[in-house]
Amino acid sequence: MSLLEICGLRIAFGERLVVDMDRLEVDRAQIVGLAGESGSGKSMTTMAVLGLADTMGARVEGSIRLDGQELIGLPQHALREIRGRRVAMIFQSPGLAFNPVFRVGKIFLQALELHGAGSRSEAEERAAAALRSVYLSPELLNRYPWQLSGGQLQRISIAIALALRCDLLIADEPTSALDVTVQGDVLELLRGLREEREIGILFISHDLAVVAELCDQVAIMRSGRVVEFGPTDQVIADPQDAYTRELLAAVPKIVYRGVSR
Amino acid sequence: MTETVLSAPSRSSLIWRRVRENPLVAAGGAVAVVIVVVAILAPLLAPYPADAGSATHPLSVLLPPSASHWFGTDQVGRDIFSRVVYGARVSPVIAFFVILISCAVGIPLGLAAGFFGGFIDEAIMRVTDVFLAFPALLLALAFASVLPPSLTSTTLAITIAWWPWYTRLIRGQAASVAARPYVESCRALGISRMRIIFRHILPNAVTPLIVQISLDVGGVILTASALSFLGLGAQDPTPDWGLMVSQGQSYFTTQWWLVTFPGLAILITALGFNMLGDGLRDILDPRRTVRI
Amino acid sequence: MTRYLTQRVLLAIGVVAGVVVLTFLIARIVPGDPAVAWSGPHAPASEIAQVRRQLGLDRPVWVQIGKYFEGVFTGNWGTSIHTHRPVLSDLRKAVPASLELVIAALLIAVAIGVPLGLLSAAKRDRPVDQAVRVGSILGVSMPLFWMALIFQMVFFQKLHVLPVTGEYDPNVAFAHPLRTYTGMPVIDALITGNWPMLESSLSHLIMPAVVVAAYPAGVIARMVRASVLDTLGETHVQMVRALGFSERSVFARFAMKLAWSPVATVIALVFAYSLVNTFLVESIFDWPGLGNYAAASIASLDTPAITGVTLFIAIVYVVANLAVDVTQVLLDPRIKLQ
Repeated sequence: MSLLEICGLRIAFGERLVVDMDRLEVDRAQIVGLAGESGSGKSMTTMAVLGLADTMGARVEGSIRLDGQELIGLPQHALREIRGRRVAMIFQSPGLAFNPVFRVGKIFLQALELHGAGSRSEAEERAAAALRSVYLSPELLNRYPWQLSGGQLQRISIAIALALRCDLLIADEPTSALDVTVQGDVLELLRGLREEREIGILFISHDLAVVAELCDQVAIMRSGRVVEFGPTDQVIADPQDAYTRELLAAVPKIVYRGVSR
Repeated sequence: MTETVLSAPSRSSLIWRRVRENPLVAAGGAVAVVIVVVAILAPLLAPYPADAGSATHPLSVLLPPSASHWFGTDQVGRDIFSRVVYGARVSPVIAFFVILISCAVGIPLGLAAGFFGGFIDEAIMRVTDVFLAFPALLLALAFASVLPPSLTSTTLAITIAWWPWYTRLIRGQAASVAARPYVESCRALGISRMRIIFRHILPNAVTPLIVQISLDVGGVILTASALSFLGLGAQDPTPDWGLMVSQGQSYFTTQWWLVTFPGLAILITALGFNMLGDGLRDILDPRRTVRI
Repeated sequence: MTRYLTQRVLLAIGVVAGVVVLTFLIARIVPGDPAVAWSGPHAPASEIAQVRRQLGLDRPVWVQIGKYFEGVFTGNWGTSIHTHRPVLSDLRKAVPASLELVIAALLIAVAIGVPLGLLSAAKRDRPVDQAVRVGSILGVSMPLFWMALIFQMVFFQKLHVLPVTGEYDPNVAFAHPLRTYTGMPVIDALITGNWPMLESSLSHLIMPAVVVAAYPAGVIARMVRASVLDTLGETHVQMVRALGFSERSVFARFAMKLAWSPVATVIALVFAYSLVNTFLVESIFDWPGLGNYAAASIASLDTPAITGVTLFIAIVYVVANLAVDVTQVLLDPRIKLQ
């Protein structure tokens, strides 16, 4: 049984269907890429997994299972148990993802306390440990978000997921807003999560080169549908769908685990 | 759910759908259209067209609303309904000219300030800031009080108070577009500045401009009626709504209809255009798009 | 941050200077001769010439502007034509009454506007939201002078509930004399424990305050709604939702702090607007404030007085804007970055 199983997911705004997904799976210790252009439905899919699609005014139908448990139709209080506890999310613009009025540590610690970290000092312990594993000083918790760089904030987001001990991490274009040099660090950290913590990662991106470098499996999305889904080396070497071929042709050079194309 | 085309809809169909979904725009638009129609067809709609002018009827002074005079008659016997109907020609015309001239003056200044930047920008914006340091009604009052009272003075006075808003609006738009890299490349390619302004900057500025204009119509009408109420605007026998309220003041305690109907006309007109503007702002606001 | 603030203060001073020049120019556009206006149309030429010298009208324009500036800063704002008293002392008498009115109106506007705006945002697009939105548009579309008359008709004529003119009942004032500290009857009555006067002045204050409150209430409700919805749509709010916080926590703990900033801005701006709106309302309620003074000045074409009022309110507006800038920096740390 996969960690995350999406089956027949349909998301609509009013009459307009924006996602029509037959199948998508993410396993433990696996990174699955969800690639596609803007407007293809990637972000709404992630919202649906968190049960937040209705906050944006959308209707959701179908099945999303986390370790066999059906998420669609679950009441809000049950969903809140899952958010932050079993599923975590990192956002595209780390500078915007942190509330500017609060020090970074405040939200971090409050989230930990919300999900049963015990006493304040225990939460602080866990937060400090998590920060160290993303190679940041725990002192950064006292800073405001606008005092930190995008790369640092993104690593703190990963640290939060670590500290909360999540099983599934949804990364919505986490490197799109970062410099190429910093990108590498974040990708390395994500690999680390997969190797050492066996976390399953759903990696959203419009950048096929990054997806190819990082992900074990890749799903190509177009206009709300998954047009191709399979192991990355297979999809890249032998794309079945015309759209996939178009996307690949647009990327100058892809290196997948040492095999270049 | 049925099988639906998943490609992104065109911008115009998106806007049209939002218009249908938005009751504010529909209601406001309807009222605005009604006012304009009433203004155009005034001679046909008013039962006593002469009363909108200088006719007086000493024998039918201060009559309450009745079948022959739906809104009653005023202190010189004129039919109030006819005067209210003809009044629809006064306020919107003022609003039209105020906005026209404000745009004619404000937009070029704003374009110049935003596009050229530097000293020109500073100079224009400092002057604009001084004008914007006054609430619009105040500035209009100050100017109207030094000019001989008439509709023209009102129009002029309000225009002086209003043009800076357009300068600031356009300047913001122009500055943000001018800063974009593709405009730089246009310049590098040698494309003339005028061309850049007309083909790139203006189209982007149109949307907030439309919203601002529709909201301003209501504002100008309220300001104009306030000026007339204070005696600085239209003079008798012009059937200006604000003037009618002012004239009816002394009779108000016993002859309520002199004040009620013209004031109601002001309210409904301003309400209609404000709803329209508000609704348009909702529809055209780019921030409303959702990340898919 | 200090550099940003100094910049704003310098800018404000510059704008006020520009305002002074502009008001001077407005006053000088008057068709006709101010000296004649002062002495009266039948005065002999010698007297008019003397008045002209007195008023400094025979000097070149730039000297006149200089003298005017000097006058503004030393407290000589000219002499009112219709009261024959210094404009500044007229203002000093009239301002407290208007202040009382505008402050009361703003309190009412905030008390109505903020809860309705929050409600509107919480029940977005539902009937309550639509109703509040129409209500707030109604507030900003209201011709105040008309609303004042209607209110008088309904509450005084028909229902006999509220008094119609003045700040308080002169009979009550005679029986229970009021010591003046601030010039605002409600506050003076409160601090001196003069309960009959408190009741009288409060009951006289309600109607005009509610009328003046219509516009700011509409603006505030709309601003609160927009600000809350904007904040709720931002990424950092999605992040705390994704962390599992309840909607109530998200709203109260994380979103609200940021939502207040634009609302505070709007309240300060609306203060000056409301001050001008009193012009339309005070003469109807016989309220002895700035608006009544301005309306009387307009009716008698009293240019120095009109100029003085204009200058005063413009300064209030600029100061209010400055206060807003300062508070914004304190409330929203993001501004520090700019």
